[in-house]
This record gives sequence, structure tokens and C-alpha cells, in this order.
Amino acid sequence: MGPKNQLTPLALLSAAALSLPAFSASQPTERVVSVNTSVYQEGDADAAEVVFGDLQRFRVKTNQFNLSAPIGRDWSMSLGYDNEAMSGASPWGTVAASDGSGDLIMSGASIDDSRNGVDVNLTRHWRGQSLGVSVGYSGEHDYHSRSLGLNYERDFFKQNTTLALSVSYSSDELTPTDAQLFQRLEKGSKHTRSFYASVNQLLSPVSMLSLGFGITKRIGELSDPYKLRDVRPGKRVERTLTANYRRYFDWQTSSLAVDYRYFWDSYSVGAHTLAMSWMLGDEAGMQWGPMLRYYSQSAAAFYTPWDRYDQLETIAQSSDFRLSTFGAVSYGLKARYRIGAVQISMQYERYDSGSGYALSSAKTEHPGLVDFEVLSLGAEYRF
Amino acid sequence: MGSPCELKLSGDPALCQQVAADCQHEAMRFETQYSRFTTDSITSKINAAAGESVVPIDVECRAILEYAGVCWALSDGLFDITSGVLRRVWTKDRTQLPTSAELRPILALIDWRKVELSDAGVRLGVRGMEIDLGGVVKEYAADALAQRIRLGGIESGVVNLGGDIFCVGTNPEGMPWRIGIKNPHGDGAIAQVGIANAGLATSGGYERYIDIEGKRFSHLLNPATGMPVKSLASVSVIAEQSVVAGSIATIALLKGQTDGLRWLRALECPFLAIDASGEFCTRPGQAVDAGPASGPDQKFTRLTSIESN
Repeated sequence: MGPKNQLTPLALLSAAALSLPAFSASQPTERVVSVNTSVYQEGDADAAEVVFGDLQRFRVKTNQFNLSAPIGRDWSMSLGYDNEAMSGASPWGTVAASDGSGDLIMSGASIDDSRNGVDVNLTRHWRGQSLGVSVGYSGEHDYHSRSLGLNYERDFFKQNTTLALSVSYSSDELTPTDAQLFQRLEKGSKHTRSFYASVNQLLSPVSMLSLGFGITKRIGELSDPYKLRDVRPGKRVERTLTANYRRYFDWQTSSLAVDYRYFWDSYSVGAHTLAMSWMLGDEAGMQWGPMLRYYSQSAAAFYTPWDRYDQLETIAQSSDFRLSTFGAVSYGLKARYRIGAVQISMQYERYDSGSGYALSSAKTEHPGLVDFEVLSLGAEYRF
Repeated sequence: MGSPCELKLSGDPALCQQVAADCQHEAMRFETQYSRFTTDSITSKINAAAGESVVPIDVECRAILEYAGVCWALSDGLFDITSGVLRRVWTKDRTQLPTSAELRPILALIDWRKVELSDAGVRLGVRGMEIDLGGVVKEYAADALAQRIRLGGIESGVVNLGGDIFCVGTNPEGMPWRIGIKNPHGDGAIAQVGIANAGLATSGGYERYIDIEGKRFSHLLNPATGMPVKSLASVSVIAEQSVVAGSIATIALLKGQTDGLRWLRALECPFLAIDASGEFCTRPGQAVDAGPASGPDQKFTRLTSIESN
């Protein structure tokens, strides 16, 4: 036996065996049912920076169900359902504050909504390649979205390389509540087309690199109808470059994941995301580990720290904090425990955002930047 | 496959029939594709072009060759799919040990590193070289058939390709499948083990041997010296894949008795080794119990002489 930090012969043989065609991982061989529930809670708004409205911000409870199963030898399907219950207040707008920054106008705590979504995917598998089609529907009382997608995967070079391509289209319909009362848009629509391509390369039996490029084009009503003054260009083209690296270590049977994403769009928003997570322990038993993520974005060209009522409604402007210059740091813990066919998982994440975290400097920090916590619990059964 | 093959399936009879036919078809495909005895197999084509041209190969054949390369590296060159040429010297009718003059030209044909794998295909570097994929394909075929069984919708079954076994699910009673381990020094089973969703491979010097001047020599030959290995009498290994179990067992035999046991003990999978004197050896702390076998999964149990008959 070699030094402790080398892979065991068994691990090497198993890795080599898994590249034999009969073990092709692309095709599911077992049925998997999973359920997940999570609570997302935003921190309260700062009273000193709110001129009107409720301080208690969003709370979202999510329940998810997923089933995937092979159908015969060449087909597989998956079915997903999720339900979200949202409550709390969200920023309506901003006004100029005496210190040169903006102050928030919040909605009342009247927002109480729920969203239901279903999606179905059917995939045909051939040796070394697969083609899937998926349809989805998501609805809440003021928003309905229908989507259609195609995804294709193909293995090359003895399955050391996988190419994945996907295209999707979605058509969304907005019917904002109390439209007449608040002179909001009564009805709008939005169409989104996306394309994503990625190449996954096995670098060694224990490491893997995946590079991807995506482009998304949104056309239609892209302004937020619930904000007091929000005028965004009716076309937004977003591009992303992604790099994901995975490395497995014999030490404590651990694995490292490093993910980077660069995003830029026609609104002039540019964003970097760097995430790292470390998992320790055997997949057949207990696994746990920390995660850390850093995010930084630069503001949209038409971002304004406070709403400009002196500006024509045809000129683009938005004081949405999501279009401002800011950065964020998230950290958390993940744990999974497998007992036979059942796996229980738990994850906690804390997210802190601020203009000080951004790579580029912001003139003023948006008072609406959120901090949040997410706790999720999941269970999975394979049979 | 050159040895008796057996398929046990449990479930809807019509589905079992269909899956059994499918498995038979797939087993035949492995036979025709990789057998060195048929002239149109890929193995024969590669061998016929030795020292000359590159033979194009498919994804499966390439993966099998690469797998064999990993075995070669992990066994310090003992597991070498080019060592089959030693059969030219070690013929059944031999009455004397081969001389070094006889062995030398044959040994020059043995070296995995002379198997040139490229994007275009594979080429054996020296005229007269041969590969034999039998030591990988039979176990891999057991895994591939097991996969067909599962994908066909059957959750309980056993594939046995001449001692290379894969157990799909549990037996119809929901218990691990009970598999007998052949007595290397006699007839019948000497031990048994319960297996569910795993592969089991047994290799032994007992299967084929050569008698010379009243002495029995194992068919297992060291590719570096060309001489038989004084190996363990039998090694059974359980692993997630039959192909992995088979390679571990074969390498254990090729390493000889002491190093073979050391190799097995350093790995994480359950094993049963029987040495030349009939002694049972296994992982420390995993003693082989005697008596009726109803023990837990993946535990070898010694059979009494009554049970083994």
C-alpha cells in the first residue's frame, strides 16, 4: 500500500470499471422519490431607513416533491412539484434621504401569496447519448408561466467527456393585483428563450471540470409592476460563463467543489459568483461539510438610488436593490445521512449583503439590501 | 464463455422469459465479439494485425482495454492481458518444464506497454503478440447482464458466468442470495456467502493445471518469468461490480500466497482465500464461522461436509 493520501486500488479499479459502458451513469436504474422543505427568512428592514410601510420582510416556505424513474430500458421520466407560501413586505420604492442616500417605501404586510409549480421530463437514452423533453407550469394568483425545454447529452472520448446542450422557452403572463387602485399595469406578458451548453471533462479518476456558456433573452414586460416607479427596457439579453471543479480525496473520503460564474447582461449588470464547499465522510453513511459563497455585482446602467419622478416614464429607471452595486457573502453547513435506501439531508445558509462587499465601489448603499437565512430539510428514498 | 453459465430470474414469468432471452443474446454478443477462438472477433482481428496495423475499436472495447491497463498498473505488471502467448510453451501435453531458451522468445512478446491505444484504435507493437480479454470480459459480462436484468424491470436474479457472479436484489424471500464457494481441493461447495446487489468472483489454481513429472502446476503464470505461480488455492472476492471482484481475485492469485493475502487484506472488500493446505484466510476480525448458513450479508460461512453434499 502506498501512502495514506493515495487512492486505494479498490477505488481506482472501481473508477475504471465505471467507465465501462454497462455502468453508464447517464441512465437512471432506480426510482428515486425525494421531498424537501425549506424556510427562507429575510432580516427585518432598518426602521431608520424606512419612511413608510412594514419592516417585516419576506418569509418563504417551500415544499418540493420529486420522483424519477426508468421506464423500460431506454426511457426515463421525472416529475416535480413545488409549492411556495410567501408572506411579508417588499420594497415599493425609494426616496432621497437627507444624508444623500435613499430611504425605503415598503409595502404593507398584506402580501400573502402562494405559488404552485409542476414539471415533467421524459428522456430517451441511447448508448452514450440522451434526449429529453420537459414541460412545466408555475402559477400564482397574479403570475402564470408555461415552459417547454429540450435537453441533449452526449458522451465522447470513452465517456471522459460529456457535452450537454439545452434550449428552453417560457411564456409568462402577469395580472397584477389592485391594478386599478394603484394605477398598475393591468396585464402584461413576457417571453424568455434560453440556450445553455456545457462540456464536462473527467481530468482524472478523482477530478472533474465542467465549463459552460449560457444565453437568455427576455422580451416583454420586464418592469416590476408593484414598484411605484420602475421602467426597464423591454428586452434583456443575459450571458453567463460557468466553471465547476470537483475533486475527491481519499483523506476522510472528502470532496471539494469550486464553482465560478460570470454574468453580464444588456442592462450593464456584471456579476461574479465564487462558491466553495467541502464534504467529509462516506456517501454510504454520514457526510457533512461547510460551504462559502461570494457574490459581487455592478449596477444596471439605469439604476437610480431613489425614484426619479422628474424623469419621463419612457426613460428607463429602477431603484430595485437587485440592480444596484452590491456584494454578498453566504456561509453555511450541509449534512447528509444515509441509512440503506433512505437519505436524510439538512442545510443551513446565512446570507449577508452590502455595498462594501462589492468589488466595484458604490456611491450609496441601497437601503433595501437583504440579509437572509435558509434552513432546509430533505429526505430521499431509492427503490 | 467456455464454462457453464446460469441465469436465475424471479418475477413475472413472461417478463422473465423476455429478459432471459435478452441476456442470452447479450452473452452471445460478448462471446462472438471478444472470443479469441473465432476469427471475426475483435480480439482475433487485433491479434492478427499485431506488429502491423491499427485496428479500430468501439467504446466498449476501448474501456475494457483501459480497464486492463489499470489492472496491469495496480498489479505491478502481473495482470497482463498479453501473457496468453505462454500457452504456446505450456501445452497440455508437456512432460518437462520449459527451458529458458524456450521461454525467452515468448517472454519478448509479453508487455502491456506495447499495446498502443490511440484515438484511431489499438495496435499491438510486436508481430506475434496476442491479447486475451477473457480475464476481464467474463466478469464484465456478468455485470452487463445484471444491468440488463435491472433495466428490464426485474428486481431479483442471479447471473453466474462460470463462477463470476452478480446477484441482483435479494432472493424472492427477501434474503441475500446464498452462493456456494467451490472446494478447491475436492468436489462440491466448501463455504457459502449471502449476497444482495453485489458481484462475487472466485478464481483458483484448481480450475486448470498442468501435471509435469508427477507435480501439479497452476495454470497461473508470472508474465515476467513465464513460470507458474505458487498461489493461493482459491480466492473469492465480493465487490460492487463483478469485474472489480474478478480482477482483485486474479491479482491476489498472481501475487503468490503471502503477497496475495497482503493485497487482499489491504483492500476494503470482503474476501475468502483458501491456501494450498486448505486453510481458510479472511480479513482479521471476520472469522469464517462453521455451521448452518443464515448469517448476515457478505459473510462467508464454512459448510460442514454434510451440507456441502
